[in-house]
Amino acid sequence: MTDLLRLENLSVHLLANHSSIPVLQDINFSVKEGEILAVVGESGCGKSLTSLALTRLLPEKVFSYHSGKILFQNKNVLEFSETELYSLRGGEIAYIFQDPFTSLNPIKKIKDQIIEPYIIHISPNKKEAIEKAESLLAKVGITDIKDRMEAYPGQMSGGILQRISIAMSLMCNPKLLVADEPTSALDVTIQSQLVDLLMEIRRENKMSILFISHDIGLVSSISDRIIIMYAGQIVESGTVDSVMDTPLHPYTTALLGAIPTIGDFSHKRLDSIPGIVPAPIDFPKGCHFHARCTKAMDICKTKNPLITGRESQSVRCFLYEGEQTKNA
Amino acid sequence: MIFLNPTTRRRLAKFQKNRRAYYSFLFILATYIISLFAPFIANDTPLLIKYKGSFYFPMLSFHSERVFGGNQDTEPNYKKLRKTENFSESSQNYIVFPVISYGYNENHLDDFTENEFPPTAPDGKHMLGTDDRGRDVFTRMFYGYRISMTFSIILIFFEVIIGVVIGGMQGYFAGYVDLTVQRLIEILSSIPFLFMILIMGSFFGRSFMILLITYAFFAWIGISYYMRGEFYKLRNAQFVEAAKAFGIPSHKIIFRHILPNAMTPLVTFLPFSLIGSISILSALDFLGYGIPAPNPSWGELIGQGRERLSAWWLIGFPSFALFSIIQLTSFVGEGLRDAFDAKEKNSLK
Amino acid sequence: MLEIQNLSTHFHINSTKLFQKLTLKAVENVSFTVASNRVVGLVGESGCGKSTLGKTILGLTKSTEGKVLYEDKNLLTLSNREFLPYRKNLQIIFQDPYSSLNPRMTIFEILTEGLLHHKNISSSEARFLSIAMLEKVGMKSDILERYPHEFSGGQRQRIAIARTLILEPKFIVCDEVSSALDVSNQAQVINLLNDFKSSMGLSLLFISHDLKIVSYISDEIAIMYLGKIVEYGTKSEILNSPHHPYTFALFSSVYDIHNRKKKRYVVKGEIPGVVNKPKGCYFHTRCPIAKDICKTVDPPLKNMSDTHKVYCHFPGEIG
Repeated sequence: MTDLLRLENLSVHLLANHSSIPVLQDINFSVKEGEILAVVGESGCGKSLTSLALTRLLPEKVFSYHSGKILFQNKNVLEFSETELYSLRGGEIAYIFQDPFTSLNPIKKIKDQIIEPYIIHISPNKKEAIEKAESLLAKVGITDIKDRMEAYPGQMSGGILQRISIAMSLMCNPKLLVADEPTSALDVTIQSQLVDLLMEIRRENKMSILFISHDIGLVSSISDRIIIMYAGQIVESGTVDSVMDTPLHPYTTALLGAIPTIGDFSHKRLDSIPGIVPAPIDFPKGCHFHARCTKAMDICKTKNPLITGRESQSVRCFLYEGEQTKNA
Repeated sequence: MIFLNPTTRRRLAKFQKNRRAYYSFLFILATYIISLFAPFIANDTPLLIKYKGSFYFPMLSFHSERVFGGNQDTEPNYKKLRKTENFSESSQNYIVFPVISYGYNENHLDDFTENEFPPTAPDGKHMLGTDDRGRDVFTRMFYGYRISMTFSIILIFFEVIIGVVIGGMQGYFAGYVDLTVQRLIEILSSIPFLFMILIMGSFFGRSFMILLITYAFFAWIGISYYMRGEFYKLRNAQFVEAAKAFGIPSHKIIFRHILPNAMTPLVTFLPFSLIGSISILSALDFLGYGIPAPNPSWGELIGQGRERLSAWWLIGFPSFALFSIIQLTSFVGEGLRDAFDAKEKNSLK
Repeated sequence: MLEIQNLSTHFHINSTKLFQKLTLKAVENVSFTVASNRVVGLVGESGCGKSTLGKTILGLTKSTEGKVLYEDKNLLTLSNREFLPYRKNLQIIFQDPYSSLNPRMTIFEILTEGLLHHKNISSSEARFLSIAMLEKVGMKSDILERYPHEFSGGQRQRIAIARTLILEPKFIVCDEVSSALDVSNQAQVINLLNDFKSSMGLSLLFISHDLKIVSYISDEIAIMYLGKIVEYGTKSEILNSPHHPYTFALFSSVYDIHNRKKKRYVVKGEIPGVVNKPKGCYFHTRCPIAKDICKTVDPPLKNMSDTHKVYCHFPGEIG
């Protein structure tokens, strides 16, 4: 299977005053066709930035793509022209965001918004677009479609709006869906519905999904592969089973230990990580996690570890260095 | 407590960095303080007289002409005094005048030649010319500045107190209190301001105090709107709920929790309130309904100029001064607004 | 220790039609008990009224009906002044650490405001107590003169906890205290609450939408749906043998990192609005086993055991 999307050594800097501060460092991952890749981390780790960087949605005056490549179907997005970028966004790579009330335009009818991607990317035929929209709305489980099309976002609940967002993102048959915390603002039972829906769509359309979330339980249940991010770097990645069952990085272990398990009556203490996530301006020298790591060694304070490991699981940590050759 | 707050310190530092605003503020402050000392800077009464070995301070105490060898019981004309025999006979006698030896009410008609009629154009003796009574324009502007700024500052003081109390009550207690007071405010604000000034003026006679009281009667309304909004917003803040959960009584909540957080729009509102009152006061003086003659004011000078359009200095200089003060104050206002800007974080998250 | 009987909180809201008064029944006829040194977890989705319930118990929101009995007194009949001495014992911690601390007060002032109000102690004694409290929540004592904005969400929440615990309360309503925090901070806060529960003999009403955390910390769990309690029982009763279809669906939808492939029951339909609630059993519009009677008749209380209550016409059939 070929890589649909591959990031090679991507670094993104924040331009502030007269200096540039790295916010994403050395990001390497790939998404194959039909695969669900989860990007997991706490706030401030850079997962949202990564998702926006894919189609160069980060504001140009503020962020610079310092080094590396973003290869979509083997073409480097960083070298795309304006027209190529516009056709990429919404066309082949579609997004859904966390809060449907702000990611949809509150003063436009659903009908007018949902046909927009189709009109821009596929064909200006409004009738065709509306037909496709209605069929997609049916597929995502919306009832009273005609009424919904004429309504405004403010008149509906979050769950329904998020389904509409999903339908809208599917209008142009994207190859990759980037979902940034799509269910975090929803109730638990509605969340289950949406997740099931995404899985079904993935199956039918053979679409890849980049699923960003802070909810490790959720993503580990639906993803094929998972990436753990901390302070702008990927600290561990691999198949879900490997990472969840045998976490290597101390951060991953601590993160998993901080989540209580339902049905565990042992009352064992939850793992908590002392300290706070560093802001980009305070990224430490050496390993970004060393100040909070229970297993930190001297070398961790001065040098940044490289990624080592296999396809099925790789980690950025001095505890494992020297085991395998570096994995690109 | 409020002033040492690092948030406040940061805002003040930001204000200082805005050079245009900061220097405008310093300029206005400096000129106002100087103008407070106006009687010692521009006056036709001397600071000090040495006569026949003794020192006299005519500004502080009254000395009649007789003291200096005259034959009247009134205060002498100090300028003429210098030239009298008693004085000039000894070089030991001297008179020290302030830097600008003109009074704001002193007419210089005696200094004019045969063909000169007031108002006279600016020349060596009178930098900005004289007005229609022959009084020095610069001196009148100088005193006028003091009067209008003082008026505005006292006005602000009162309007803030009244506006904060009333607006705060409306916002905090809401319900019927809010509705009732709001209706009263609406009635009050529909009373035409200019007519009230005229009526009060004709009833009680025009004076600084009457003007101040009448103006203050209406000026607090604007601030109360701001405060009402802020209090409304803050009474639902979670830290207020937390304080209630601790059993903290209402009055303590208002003063300790809500008020310090509500002050922000007030600070940014003040310079514009200042501009408003200076402008309105000048307009009233221009029409003749403001501070009564012979008190000096810029509006009055411009009013004189209206009738003698050839005397451009009567319109030009006060207008320019008015424009400058308003412009500088608005710079200060903008600077404060930027410094207190809610978007204080420079990170993107 | 704290007994809630038939508590209801209704709000009057404006309707779009003239002269029509709408009543929003946020909490309807809720009854349960919080015993000494026990944690009662309260779970539910949007519109279930759990936050409103927490605030009503403490008198922060006006109740419409019902009683809250504490030490044999009905707290809801007390005036503000009479309630004052009870405030020390009955506390609340809020969800948002960014707005529950007054940005213009120092940490010292925040910690000691309630303390100085309830106890007649000197400022230096208060300082001593606040330093001790800060250390217990894992924060350094040199922060007393700092301001809230200098701290992260997790740190602020710990300060908020310290502020409450310094009064040595007996009962605390924890209103979504961990929801605004990251996973590692959540764990820290939960650990703290657990520790204090043991060391100070506290009772907690732990309100949250996060089922994993509620299951971890609670001794008893109450499940609410659209203002009513649908099931109540001990932790093991609820987790091992849920009897209400909604409870079943709710806990089934939790994603477990160690049980990733578990079979999940996904309930259909949207959560009805709180204003126009369905007739009969509120859950019937989404319930897989709803029968005709559920659409018209309020579900009755059925006691599965001394501690296990369900409000359902057909409890246990979903299994």
